[in-house]
Formats: sequence, C-alpha cells, structure tokens
Amino acid sequence: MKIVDIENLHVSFRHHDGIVKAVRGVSLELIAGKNLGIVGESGSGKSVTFMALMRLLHPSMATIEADVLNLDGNDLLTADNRALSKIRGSSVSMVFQDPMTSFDPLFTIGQQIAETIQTHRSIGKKAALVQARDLLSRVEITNPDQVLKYYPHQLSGGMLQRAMIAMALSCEPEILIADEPTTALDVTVQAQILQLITDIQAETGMSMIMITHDLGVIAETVDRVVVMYGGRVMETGDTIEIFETPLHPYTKALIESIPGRVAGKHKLKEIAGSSPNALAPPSGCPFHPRCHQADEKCVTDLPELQKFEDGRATACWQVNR
Amino acid sequence: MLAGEPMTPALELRQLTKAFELGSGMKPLFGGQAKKHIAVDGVNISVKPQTVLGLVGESGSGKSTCGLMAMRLLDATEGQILVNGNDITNLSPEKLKPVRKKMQIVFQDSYASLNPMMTLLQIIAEPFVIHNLLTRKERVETVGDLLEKVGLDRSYANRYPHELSGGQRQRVSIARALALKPDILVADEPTSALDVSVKAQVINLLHDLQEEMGLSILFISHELNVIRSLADEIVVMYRGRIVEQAPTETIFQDAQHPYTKSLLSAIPSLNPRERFRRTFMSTDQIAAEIPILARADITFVGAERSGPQLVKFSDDHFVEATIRE
Repeated sequence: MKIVDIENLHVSFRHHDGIVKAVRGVSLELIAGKNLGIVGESGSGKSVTFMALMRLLHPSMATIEADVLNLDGNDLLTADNRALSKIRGSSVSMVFQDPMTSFDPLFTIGQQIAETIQTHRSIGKKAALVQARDLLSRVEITNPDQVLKYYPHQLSGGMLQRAMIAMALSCEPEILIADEPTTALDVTVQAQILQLITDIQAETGMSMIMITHDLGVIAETVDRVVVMYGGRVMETGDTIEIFETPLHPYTKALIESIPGRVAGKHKLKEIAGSSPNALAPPSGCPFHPRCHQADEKCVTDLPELQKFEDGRATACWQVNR
Repeated sequence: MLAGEPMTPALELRQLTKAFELGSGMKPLFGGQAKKHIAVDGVNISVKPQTVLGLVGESGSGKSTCGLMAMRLLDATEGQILVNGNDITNLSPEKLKPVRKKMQIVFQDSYASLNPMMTLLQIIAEPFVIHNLLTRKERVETVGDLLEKVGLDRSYANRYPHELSGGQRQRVSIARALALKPDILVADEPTSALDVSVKAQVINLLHDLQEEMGLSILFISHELNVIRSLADEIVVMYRGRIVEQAPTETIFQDAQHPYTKSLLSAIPSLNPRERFRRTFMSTDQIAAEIPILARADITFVGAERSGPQLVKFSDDHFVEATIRE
C-alpha cells in the first residue's frame, strides 16, 4: 500500500523578480512501513516537496498543482483545515533541522509534549505528562523526569533534537518525515540521532522519510532513495544500487565528489558550475550545463523519469538499459 | 638551512590559553570573582612551512578560538603566537600591520564576511587600499587576475556579493585573502556552508593554491573527511585541549585517544552494505578510556600539569595520556 503518493507535483512561489519554480513535476511514492531517503542540494526542491505535501505552504505565497497528492489515504489537494490538522500530528509528524526554533522558548519540554498529546487525544494533563516522560526515556534521555521540567535553552542541541523526536512520536504517527534532522549537530551526536531514528522506525514499523543533502546519512539510514536536482527527480532506486551502480550522471558525480574516501592528500572529483537558478531554470535537463555527457537533446528536451523493470528509474537521455 | 636542522614553523602557538569571563556583570567591581570559561587551555600547535595542518573538534572545542587568536583577532589570555619565528603576541596595531600582510583568514560564512555595499572589485582591492599598494589601474588588473585564479570570470569585478552563489562568494573571500600574497592562511570551516557539489570545488581550489603559492594553512573543520583530503597533519581538540596530534593517515589508521576514535567512528560509512552499530562514548567514558602510560616511558610536550597530559607516543604522534607514577 502506498502511504505517500505524489504524482506530477508542481510548486511555484511568487517572487518580486518573477516566479520561482521550486518543484517541477515530481512523482514519488512510499510503501507503508518502508523508509525513503530524499537527497539533494539546496534549491533541489527536496524540502518544498514535503512542505507542499503537508500543506504547510500558504496559498498566498505558493501555488501547488499535482495530479495526485495522497497521504495515508487522504487526498491533500482537497482537504480542508480541519482535516489537515487531524492528519498532521496523528498520521504524520515532522522533525526539522533546527530544534531550537521548533520549540517555544517560554514553555517547558514537558508542557509542550503534553500539549501535543492532549491536542490529539482526550486525556488529562497528568496522564499526558506521564506519557511525555515515557517518550523521553524512549529516545534514550537518561534523566526524563528532570528534562520534563527543563526549558529548551537548558538542553544541548542533541538533547533537544531527541526531545523533538519524542514529541514527533507522541501521537504514534504512521509516517515520520525528518528534514535534515542532524545537519545542525556535531558529528558524534549526528551518528547517535540517526541510529535512534532508524531503531525507532524498525521497532514501530512506521514509515519514514529522511530528507538530507548528505549521502552519508542516506547510506546509513534508508533502503530506498530519490535523488533530486533543480526541482526534478533525477533518479530513484535501492540505496545499495544507487551507491554501487548509479545511473544518472548527477548521481555519479555526487558520489565521486565526497571528500576523504581514500587515504592521502588528494584532489577530489568536482562538479563544475553551480546549481540552477530556480527563477530561470535551464532549458531541457536541469543538469545539462554541468554534465559532461550532455548533447543537443539534453539542452532542448526535458527528460521524463523512465521506469525500469527492476524498480529503478532515471531521468536522463543518455541512459539506455 | 642545514639538513636535519628543525625548520622554523610558519605559524606557532605556544601554551596558548583563552579564558572568557562569564556573566561577570557588577561582581568584579565589588571584589567578587567572575566565573571563567577556559575555551583554550595551553595549546601548542605548529604549522610547518608549506604544509596544511587540519584542526578538528566539535563545537565548543576551542578550535575557532585558536584560529582567531593566531590572527590576533582575539587577545590570548596566556601564551605566545609566533609567525616565522617572530613573536607577535603583544605587537601594537601599527607593528602588526606588516605582519597581517603575511597572514590572512577565510571564514565559514561568506555572506557575513563580504560587505554587501561593495563590489567585488572594492572588496578584493581593499587590502591594497589599506596597505597603500599599487596604482588604481594596477589594482583593477590584479583583481581581475585574482578572480581568474579562484575560478571566476574577470567581468565579475563589478558585481555585488548578493549576485553570487555561496560557492562563488567563498571564492571571493579566498581571492581577498590571497590578494597580498600571504604565506599563511587560516581557513575556519571554509566549506561547511557549501553545497556538496560545490564543496569539492572549493577544497580543490585550496589544494591547488596551496601548491602554487606554497601556502602554509591552518585548516579548521569539524569534518574529518574534508581534512583528510587536504591536510598533512591533524590536531584533534576536545574541550579546549589538544588530545591527539599526528600525520593525517596515522590519525586515520592508528588513533590512540578515545575522543579521536569516537570522531572517526562517527564518519558515515558510505557503504550501505556495511551499516554497523556504533558504540557511543559519553564524556565520562572518554575520560575513563584515556591511555595510561608509565612516567618512565614518556616524553612530555609542553609544560607538565595536573591531570591527563599530551605526551609523545611515537616520533610524530602525540596523544593525551594519564601518567602512571
């Protein structure tokens, strides 16, 4: 069963210089109970895709069009505000990059987690606090009773992100969407948080989407990947296949440019040029100005995602399988 | 220089210490003691001429504070800073000016470090203005050359920083730092804010410039992977102190300190077939696993002090150890 189903999603923002086409025809799906990684650089449209899915973009700023936009059986294109607030929190929860701005500085961690629980369930405050305590120990916080009484500023970034995950889990969502959950954290803390998220996903059997710019995070956490660039899906496939036999020239170049994979001082393989301008995306394939395999067709025609029998798919004129 | 004679380091930090006073407020006025936070605690670092020293540590380890003190952008509480063997710790601003020509810094956030009101020409030519070098015409010419050197087109000279991407802005920061042909470059997380595909470009640029210009670089980063591709030697800082120091590959192959090991184990495997469960060490566990060496077997580095101490582990490998009497 598809728990997330997006077909031909377009998102554009009005900007004083014109229209920013952030997402240009993205299709992707997530099977219930599985995990999916979305990897891309800034401006690739990876976060906007899911902000649009969650309907977190205000209609006055963004225009959202899609053939299908389904989440856990709900059609999000037509859902009204009441339906949306029921879906958010109970069906799906999000964890963002910066836990400091996701919590309200004026309330304790306990109050905030309990509030979330009470919003979605009719239970008393005391019972909600007991649940909040259990959630904190679930995310491996060793002193949950104290942390309940702490204000956000009293916790380190890593502890706060754990508390954020606890809050996201509070209503037992069907899907957890984690948007760069470890980017703001120290490297050792990052590894711990990633392990925590994958453990919880495996234990609860919930579905999970991991949005990141870091291929290392992808390799560590998810079984399937969507590679995005310039508001388009470049390639999808199983994580192992993507790393071992990448099909799209962008995916190949991205993997080869990772620093420190071999011993000794060395130059890296780099991708020349810079990411496309969403105000004036290049004609044809968005990657063609930086691609050394590009020919005339790549410059003029936008390649669609072609699906192969083995479950892989890529949008590139140069790939023939 | 005679063979075997130790080379004078390009940049040397000796027993460098920085203590920040916390929440002092009115207390000292009334004879009270302000609380102190020791951000850097007796650090010795020497960057050998024409090499890259990678300084790694997590946030709060004191690595950036070291970089700022090395540049004399922040005053050291104790210790000395030597540039090509000359002590610059207490030089007056006038005397420091010629030294600054020889050492430059590149910061992480290129947006905050480039004046948005100035064109790239004005930004990159500013060092010439400050040091009163070159004619107007020569400045335009040199800025064009510098832009090309960092991989940008000469025509960019009349653009403003906001017209550039993050990677291009970081190239401009590098061009400005190189304008006066320095010997020493301090690079404080220069690639951390960049996109993956652009990060490799900037690392390669630093790589090429270092070889071409014979730069000595103090490269500060929290990313061991990035440091591996660029540095000859690595210094690991933890809670204001150096806990390990060795040539790059020695750190990767033969790390001794528990904190270095935990940094190494946190590097993503990049092989989805080889996901492994990591064991994470708390601060207490790290403290408990510091190597223990007998006093008779060790050579001290720096002044002896209480608690764990940086000692010589092998010829070019230093590690913090607890000393057994």
